[in-house]
Amino acid sequence: MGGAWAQSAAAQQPLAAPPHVIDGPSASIVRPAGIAMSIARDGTGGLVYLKQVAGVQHVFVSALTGGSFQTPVQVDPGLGASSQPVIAAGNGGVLLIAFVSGGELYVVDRPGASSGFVAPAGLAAGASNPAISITNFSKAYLAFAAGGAVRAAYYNLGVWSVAPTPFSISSADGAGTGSGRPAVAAAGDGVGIVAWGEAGHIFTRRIWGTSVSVATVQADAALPGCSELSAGEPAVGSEGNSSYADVAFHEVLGCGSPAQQRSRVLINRLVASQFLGVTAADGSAGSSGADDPGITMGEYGHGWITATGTTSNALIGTALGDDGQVWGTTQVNGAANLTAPDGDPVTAGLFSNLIAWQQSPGSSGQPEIRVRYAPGGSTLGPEIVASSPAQGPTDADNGLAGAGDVAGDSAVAWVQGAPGATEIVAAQLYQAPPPFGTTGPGRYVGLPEPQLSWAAPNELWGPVTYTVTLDGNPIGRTQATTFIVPTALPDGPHAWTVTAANPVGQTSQTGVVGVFVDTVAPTGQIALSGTRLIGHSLNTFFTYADPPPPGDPTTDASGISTAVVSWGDGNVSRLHTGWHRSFHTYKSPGTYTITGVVSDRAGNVGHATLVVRIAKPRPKPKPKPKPNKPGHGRRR
Amino acid sequence: MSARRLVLVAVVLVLGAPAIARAQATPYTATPPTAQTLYRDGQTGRYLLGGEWLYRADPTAAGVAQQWYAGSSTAAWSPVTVPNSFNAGDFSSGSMVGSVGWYRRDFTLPTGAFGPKVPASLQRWIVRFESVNYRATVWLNGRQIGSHVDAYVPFEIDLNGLRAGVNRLIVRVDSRRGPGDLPPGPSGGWWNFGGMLGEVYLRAVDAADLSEVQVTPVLPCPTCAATIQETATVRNVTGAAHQVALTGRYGSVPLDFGTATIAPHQSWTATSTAVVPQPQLWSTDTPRLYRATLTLSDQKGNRLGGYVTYSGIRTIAVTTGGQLALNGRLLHLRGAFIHQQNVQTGAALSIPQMTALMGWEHELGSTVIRSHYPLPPAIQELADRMGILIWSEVPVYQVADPYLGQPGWRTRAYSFLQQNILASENHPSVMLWSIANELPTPVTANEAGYISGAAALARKLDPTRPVGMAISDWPGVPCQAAYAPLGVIGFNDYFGWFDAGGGGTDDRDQLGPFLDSLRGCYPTQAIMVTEFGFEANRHGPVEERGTYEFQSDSAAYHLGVFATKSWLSGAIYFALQNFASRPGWGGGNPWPDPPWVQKGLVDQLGNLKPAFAVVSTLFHAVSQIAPMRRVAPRPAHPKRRRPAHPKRRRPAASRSGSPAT
Repeated sequence: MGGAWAQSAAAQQPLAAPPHVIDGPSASIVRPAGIAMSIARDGTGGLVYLKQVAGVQHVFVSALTGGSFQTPVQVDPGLGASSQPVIAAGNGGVLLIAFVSGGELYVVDRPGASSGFVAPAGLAAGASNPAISITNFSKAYLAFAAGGAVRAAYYNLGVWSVAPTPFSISSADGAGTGSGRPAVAAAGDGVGIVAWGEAGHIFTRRIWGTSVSVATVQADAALPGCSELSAGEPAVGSEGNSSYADVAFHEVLGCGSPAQQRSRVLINRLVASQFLGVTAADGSAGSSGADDPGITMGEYGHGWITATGTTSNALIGTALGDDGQVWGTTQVNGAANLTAPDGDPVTAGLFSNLIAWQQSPGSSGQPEIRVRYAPGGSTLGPEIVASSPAQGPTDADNGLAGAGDVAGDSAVAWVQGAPGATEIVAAQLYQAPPPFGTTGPGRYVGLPEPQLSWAAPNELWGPVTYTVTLDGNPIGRTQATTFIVPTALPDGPHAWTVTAANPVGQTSQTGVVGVFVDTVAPTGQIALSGTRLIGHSLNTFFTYADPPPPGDPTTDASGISTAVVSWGDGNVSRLHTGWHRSFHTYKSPGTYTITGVVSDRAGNVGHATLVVRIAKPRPKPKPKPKPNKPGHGRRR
Repeated sequence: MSARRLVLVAVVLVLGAPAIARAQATPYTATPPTAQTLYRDGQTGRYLLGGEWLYRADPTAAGVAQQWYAGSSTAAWSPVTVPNSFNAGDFSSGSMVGSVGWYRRDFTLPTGAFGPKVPASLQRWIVRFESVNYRATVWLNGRQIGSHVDAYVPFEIDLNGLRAGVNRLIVRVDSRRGPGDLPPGPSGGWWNFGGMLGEVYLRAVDAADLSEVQVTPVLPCPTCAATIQETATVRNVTGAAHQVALTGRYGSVPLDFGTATIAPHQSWTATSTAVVPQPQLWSTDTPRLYRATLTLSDQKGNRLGGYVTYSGIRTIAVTTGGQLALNGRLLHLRGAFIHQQNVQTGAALSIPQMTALMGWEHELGSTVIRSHYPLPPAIQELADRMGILIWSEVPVYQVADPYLGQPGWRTRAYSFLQQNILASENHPSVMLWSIANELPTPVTANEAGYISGAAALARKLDPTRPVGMAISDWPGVPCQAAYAPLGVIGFNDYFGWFDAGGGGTDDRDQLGPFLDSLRGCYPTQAIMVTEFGFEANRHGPVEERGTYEFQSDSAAYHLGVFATKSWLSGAIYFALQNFASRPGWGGGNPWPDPPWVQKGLVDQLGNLKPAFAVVSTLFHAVSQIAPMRRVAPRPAHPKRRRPAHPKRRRPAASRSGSPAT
């Protein structure tokens, strides 16, 4: 039925391809580069960043199509300097980009993978700080600040509509600006949750289509023993069910007596329209200060909140479980960090996710991008170095973003290189191709060079290269899903399998399948007995066999499948396997060709024929009339 | 007094208190059953075994070993009335798991049940239990006389061993269910209320009993004459052969089943047909009923017994275009799902409680109801009279795959299906036989085998009704060839509520396209939405799940989508009233109130929620049955399962009938 991208095999630890330069080195790529990335469940997506053209800053997009990042294109032609780009990817290659140019919020859409980008359309004047999120069904919400208020626009079926009602409480308290920039999460059910800062507090409010909820709920509160001074930098995540959303934010508290100022990253779980209460999301780093909250939540609420120790530069991850419940906090980076890690938590799959950050110094002595992947959602795997030192030091402070598809494939992009030679670099982390199976040719074949076929695995990124192995030996590679055995196979049983390999060499294999080659047709002889008259039963004895090739053992023959005797008058006798005798009575005189047809399991056919002439029986002589004796007359 | 002696006294007091309590007998007097029934259809000579019963909990299941069935003392027994659910109001985990309880009724036989000329040797009594959850073992005067498994369907036992004076009927009820039971336990989709959920009758039988009666109107076309096929099983309950005669009337049309001499303890399957030339049809807008009676007599013409049922002449069929039609009129049914529950009495409902449920259905504008199990006869009779169709289902509910392939399990499931058909097939309101709810998706090999077998059985037992099944489905699931034996596919729709298939049903806007894809898979089978519903237990924002506003909005949205699907044969809201499900039930409501499923349009206390009026308005806005027009019904299979006895058949009567008032 429908084509929702929903199912996902359990993810494993990924394998990273060598990093790929999307753009650069170039002095035109600005820092900060405004990198943002989004990948839909079906593996399509895109990367957005800023680059100067003729000294003017513009928005460029590299689409992720067929598993590869494409040549970047400028999506704001005709406009002046642009900034604050955001991107959201929907299934089928849908890309939604928003940015600010000349103080106006613009949107650019790509309706599908085979379409181009439409011209930018202005959405709101005096706007800033856009944030975007999209559902599995390509409904999107774009939150932004404009005119002293936090507002949102709704995208559905190719149309953007700005909600008439502002989210913020007052138009005079800087709502949505500075550290109060809005964040938005679009839940799978089509409801959006907008979080923003206003007057030093964090608020959330839902939106359904263009209807803004009547409920505005404050997320920030003081930790026990502290008083709240201010809150900002909201980050919001939601699962498929909008009833459950987690909000992470930065809060400055006054704790103890005399009060000492503390910088913390806190989390508050929004269930329906009630927050359950703030808890710390910065672990031990919180005692010395933390900031830079980030969040990701998958279909069922599994995800991560990240926070950075302000003095330790430690990257702290808080695992989220079902419905966004807090499962525990851990330090993500194993080695000390000299600079802020700029951590980015990313959903890649229904449950799986990852955290990307910059490790400085890295293993080469210069900053590098690392990733830890959590296949089950809560346990981070080993650190994977995604960047290459050959391209110089990474600069995550000026750009680091990641995204993933439903199969668990993910990509991370960042800024790298020396000043004046800036590169936009991306690394793709692959999951192995999903399980797949063979489709042909069946158990028996009559040709020595059979065509083998299989169903393509649901590999979202590809391309997949298949290696065909027959009788334990590789016999060919192809990117098609059929393969003709190149050399004639001897009669008898064979075994074959197909191994699918993705671009980084991860493999998935079909089961080993048997194919029996039988090129020799069965033989038959037919004998007839009985009276060759109409109305008399005739008896054939059809002797048949399935011989192997000369000199081969009998086990190289596939065996008899069917044996049929065709009587030449339209009647057919189908013999049970192992039976030879059949009977028939002709109703009309004439000459008939009796044909025995025998087939083996490979479809080879053998024939045997004989001709029979059927005659009328001679008329019986009429009995002599008997004398009519008394007492034998007709009964009354 | 020394401290040690004080302790001893205390121990004696503590231990002795219950002993003293046990020694105190509950005052109890045997009384006869009363000549009344709580529903109309059935044999004559029925007596309601109501009044005061006794109940005794058996938490350690020690009663059999301690021979509770044999004693006469009423100590430790408490007075109750039946129907009764022994764990009503108890929503603990232990209550859900089930337990053992014993019921007792001391009774004397009523006078005047038999005519003065009926010798004692021909007087027999049968006890009928309408519903016992789950395993029943029955003793009469200390001797086990029978047992039964499965709730929601009736069973009968010959009362052998009756005495003059006081008789004692004991019923041990074990409500503990395992995963192979129906419905599977120990958890489940609705609360496990154990006990005698239905009333109990005694039936006076004079030599021969009309144990089963099937009245099947066959209507070749909406304007055709109807042929009434009746089959009765007459059982000789004595040890001597008896000659009997059976006659009947269908409205004003007489039937003659002929006579038979029935060997001792044997049965006669009597059949007869009658023609109603210009029948007044039963339909949802004009639920006309015919009073069908049977009279059993002996060779001298003395009446032995009788049977009364209220029958409706109608056809219910799936058209060649894959739509349900009643009397050839296409259906777009609307209705609400019923659970047999009450906050005070559990699953043991009184007639007023059942009437209230059906009253709400009427107020909604319902033309169809559904439950996960056979509904009580009183509700089915109300449906007959109100013109409300019933999706009649057996509790093959979310059964784990391995059981579906086990021969023993299959036998039990088929038996349950057969019991439901035998008990309910005379009701014109019963529109189809549903063989299961929400078995595994996609269909497993075991499930395919069950579907095939159950559908074949239902068609064999009753060829006049379609076979249906309620399924879970979601985007991405391929078309299922295993549903081919089903005439009607019921789709349980939770778009925008429950997450299925990794988020495939998250967004309610996907409902319309999904329904279209469902139709694409099953173009010649009728499709109904057998469930859609949303929890609500508070006021709040319209986008917030669990609020009355969300419930109203969502119900209206889904009904709006259904209204655009002209091929959709019906939609059933889940559920009419809040009901207890199981401990810890969340049900998709972020602020749930376990164990209550809050999807009801009526809360568990009987208060209408705002969505009730919304749904009622939209139900009434739908033309649920099309004006009379001809559609092509699938070929009917009027052959009955029982071979006719040609030598006992009589020519069909041919007078016109008239419906009952």
